[in-house]
Amino acid sequence: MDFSVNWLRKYIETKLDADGIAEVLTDQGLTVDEIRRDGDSIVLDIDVTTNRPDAMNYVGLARELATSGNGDMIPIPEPSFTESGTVTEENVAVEIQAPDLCGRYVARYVKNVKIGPSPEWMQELLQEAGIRPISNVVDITNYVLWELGHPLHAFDSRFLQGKQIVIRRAVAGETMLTLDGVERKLTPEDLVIADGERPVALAGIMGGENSEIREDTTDVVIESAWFNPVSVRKTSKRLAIHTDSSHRFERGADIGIALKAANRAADLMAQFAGGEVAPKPIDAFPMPFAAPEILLKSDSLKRILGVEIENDFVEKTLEGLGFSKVQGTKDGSIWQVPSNRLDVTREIDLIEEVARIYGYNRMPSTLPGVESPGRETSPSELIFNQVESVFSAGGFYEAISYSFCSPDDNLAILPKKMDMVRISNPLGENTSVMRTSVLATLMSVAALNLKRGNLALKLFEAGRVYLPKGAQADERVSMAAVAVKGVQSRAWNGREIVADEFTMKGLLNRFEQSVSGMSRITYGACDSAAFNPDKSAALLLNNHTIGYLGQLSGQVLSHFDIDYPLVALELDLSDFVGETQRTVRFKPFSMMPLTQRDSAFLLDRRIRYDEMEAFLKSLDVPYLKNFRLFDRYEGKGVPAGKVSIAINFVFQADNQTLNNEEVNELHQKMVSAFIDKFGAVLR
Amino acid sequence: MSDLKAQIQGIRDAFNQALGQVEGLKGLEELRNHYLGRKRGIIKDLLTDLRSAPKELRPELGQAVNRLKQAVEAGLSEKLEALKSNVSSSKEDGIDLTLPGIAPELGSLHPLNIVNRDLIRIFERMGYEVAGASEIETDFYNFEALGLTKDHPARDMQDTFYVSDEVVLRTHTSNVQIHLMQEKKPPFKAIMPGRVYRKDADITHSPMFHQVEGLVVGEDITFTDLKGTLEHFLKKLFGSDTKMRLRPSYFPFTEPSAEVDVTCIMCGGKGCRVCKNSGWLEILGAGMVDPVVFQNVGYDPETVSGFAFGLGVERVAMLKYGISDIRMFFDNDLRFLSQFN
Repeated sequence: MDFSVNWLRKYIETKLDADGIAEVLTDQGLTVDEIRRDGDSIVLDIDVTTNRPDAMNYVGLARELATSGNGDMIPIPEPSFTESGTVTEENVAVEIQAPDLCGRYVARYVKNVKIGPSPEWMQELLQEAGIRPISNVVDITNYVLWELGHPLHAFDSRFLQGKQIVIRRAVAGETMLTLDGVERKLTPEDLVIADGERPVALAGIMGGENSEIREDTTDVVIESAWFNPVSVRKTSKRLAIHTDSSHRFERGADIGIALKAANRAADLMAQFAGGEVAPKPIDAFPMPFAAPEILLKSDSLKRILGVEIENDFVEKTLEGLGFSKVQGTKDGSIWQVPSNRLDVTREIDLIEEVARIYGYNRMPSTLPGVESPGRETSPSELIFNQVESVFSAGGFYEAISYSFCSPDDNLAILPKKMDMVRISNPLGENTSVMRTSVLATLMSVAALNLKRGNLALKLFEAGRVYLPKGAQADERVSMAAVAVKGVQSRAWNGREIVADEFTMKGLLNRFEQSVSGMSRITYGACDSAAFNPDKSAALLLNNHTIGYLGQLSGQVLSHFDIDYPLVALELDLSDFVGETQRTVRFKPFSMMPLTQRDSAFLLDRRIRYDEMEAFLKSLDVPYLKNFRLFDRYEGKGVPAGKVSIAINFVFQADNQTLNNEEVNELHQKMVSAFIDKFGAVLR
Repeated sequence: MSDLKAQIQGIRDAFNQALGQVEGLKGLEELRNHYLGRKRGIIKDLLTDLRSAPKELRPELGQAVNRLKQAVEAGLSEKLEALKSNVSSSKEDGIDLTLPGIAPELGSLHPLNIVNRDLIRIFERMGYEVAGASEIETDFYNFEALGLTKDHPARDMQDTFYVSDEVVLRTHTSNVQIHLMQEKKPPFKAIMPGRVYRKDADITHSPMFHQVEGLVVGEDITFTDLKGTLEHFLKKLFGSDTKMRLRPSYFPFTEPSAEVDVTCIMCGGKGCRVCKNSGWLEILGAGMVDPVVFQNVGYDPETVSGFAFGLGVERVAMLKYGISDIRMFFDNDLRFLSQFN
């Protein structure tokens, strides 16, 4: 909100220059965002918070400066007009039909004005503050609004049918052409100022064209009213009209100042538009103002602020801001709230007033004396941390994608008909539902990167997915990873960095190992259309699917407009949450020599390796420390439908040296069993 | 005397020849000892001989010896540089270790996660616990319980995504404060990190972003405690020279409320483009918990008090890393992500 420093100086005698004023106001909670200079004119752009309509005017700002001891207020001259002619009531009648929405309505009648330009000094001040001068009468209403903060409106009384002003709710279907030239459709929610026949103004927001001040206007009705903030806010929001007037009424205007503001405008019109002011203004006041009284307990300031503030300072501050002390009691003092400070309703509000004038930056710094047991990392955070360290150490970059996506993105990954949490007012279709898998949003990140030529792509994200549950959602912890399949880079010595199904699986194993100390996931047929069924697996834990691993299907790649083969992992982490952090126990190892044997078998390529592994383990061969697949080959030299499997066996005893014969016998027995079991042939 | 002069010239020639033939660092070291050794060095010997020269010639000869010494030192160190820069590859079976190194591949955390962890770590060391709750939240926890009634004008400050009339995407992590206070008895200190959502999208606003809020409740928690806590936190985050400024402000769920500024991390407070010449950067919002909030969770505001604060992780990361477009974080371009490992 722009304020002219020259204009402000009409109400405050201060030694401060513009920078000094800006600093003081900022320290008191009226932040000056910018100081703009243009010759002699200096404008302060002040961010007045919504709770402070009292400071959205020059007198209010002057009061702030004076209260903190930064100058003396210059009072506005008392009205000096003499009333003449017939009383106001004989010129215009006021009827409030909606007293719940209009707490006060003051009308002053000014006759025989001569419309012309306003005085130069007034035009200059208005222009400095960015307001366009129009004519003396209109400028005076704007001037008083910025001076006192009270919005006024001026009607040309010629156009008030039946010489009547009726404050009522609009009738359904009623329309009105507002001053900005727009035809407005009204509803009974809207409060209007009407004459005997039709609306002539949207109460507190904008006047109508039908009653506006024109060049030949002679008799003016000045409206100075108080309208219900919620009602003004609803109408201005619905019709998308924001004016200086609605801005103040929405935040709460000063009901006590209505008559004073009308008189101030009438006085200026008498001086600068040659008007004659009718005696006895109308002051309809269905909601008389009862000033709230608040007890400020003597120990409360110290209790909340932590600093001792002298009573003299407290009293001087509150009085300066317009509060009056009603009485002192043994508990503290009772303060009466002025009508321009309806934001102050409780003791804490008084404490804040004292604190901000005292100065936040003057107060000392202390630390809270709360003993706390300290922090325990939440189980889901631990799991996230584990995913993050395993995958980032494995060469993957962490992405953070939006929690929302398009319904089609969700369906592309989890095509089974699935409910989604829908946003009723999304920014667009692309962000209209909450993701049901992390891959649904990570794929868009992958697509963007590939489009930009970042082909060495390895990304992961650990985060929540959102499945509908009752009115809210089951927010499950999940993760996904995606990589371009193949050689991602090759060093000068030939060393390659490869991403494929097995490097991905390796990281999955490492994650499992780090959380559970073992691999428990088993691999089943993939039932997700997002994955290539021949080159992927469902991840099973205790026989239910917790994710997928493998190559993405052409269907999903084309949905995300991707031309590169991708391998991906999607894993629900819920089952790992709360898994006891693995405690590592040292296992003694044998100092005896190792004996190794290698065997290669030809067998049906459809036999799963995990079956071979399980079988070999089930044999429980003595001294077999471990075994390891060291080669797998199919193609030239191996019959079609067969595969060559080469396994390295390691034998070791804990406290003796094994001789060759012993090892050979154990090895032979194991190999024969394997051959029998799988129909294999020794190569 | 001309003997001595000729001798000096002879030493210089011999040195140059020997230097040309030196191979390896060891040979060079031997050469150095031969000429510059403190006990038996040739130059040391020359200086001894100098004492027997006629007095009036000594200055001139002394200078000549000095020039020789400087030439030898310069020759040795030049040769040393040359040998150092060409160590093993100069041998037939040597390895050229100036070839590019090959490290195991390494990814990294997202910069927002890095900053988020930094923030958590600072409070962790101050004894704060970490709390969380749903992101898809009821109107009550996101608004009502915080004093933001349906007609409250401050609801305009937060453009909200709705799932239904009563369910929203949380606009701040303050919903966690309400859950926490309903579950716990004071005193406690907690922080609440997480994703939040507002209907806003431009160069400095993202419809999804991250907050960290803090809440301390107890019997004698004061505004000066809030100041001290934030001061400590901001010095840990931005460095011990950081200064803090509080400006009174308005939030519906705290009172008194403050906007908190730090001295501009770009210019140190002198004024620059980033701080719009003010020397200050707005970094967080804070205040004493409003009594209404305590009433809404069943605490007695006459006996407990507390403070709360909140800051945007993106804002901190943008300042810390010098990022001016918030969308960078959510594009996740690998050329961006790979700058933080």
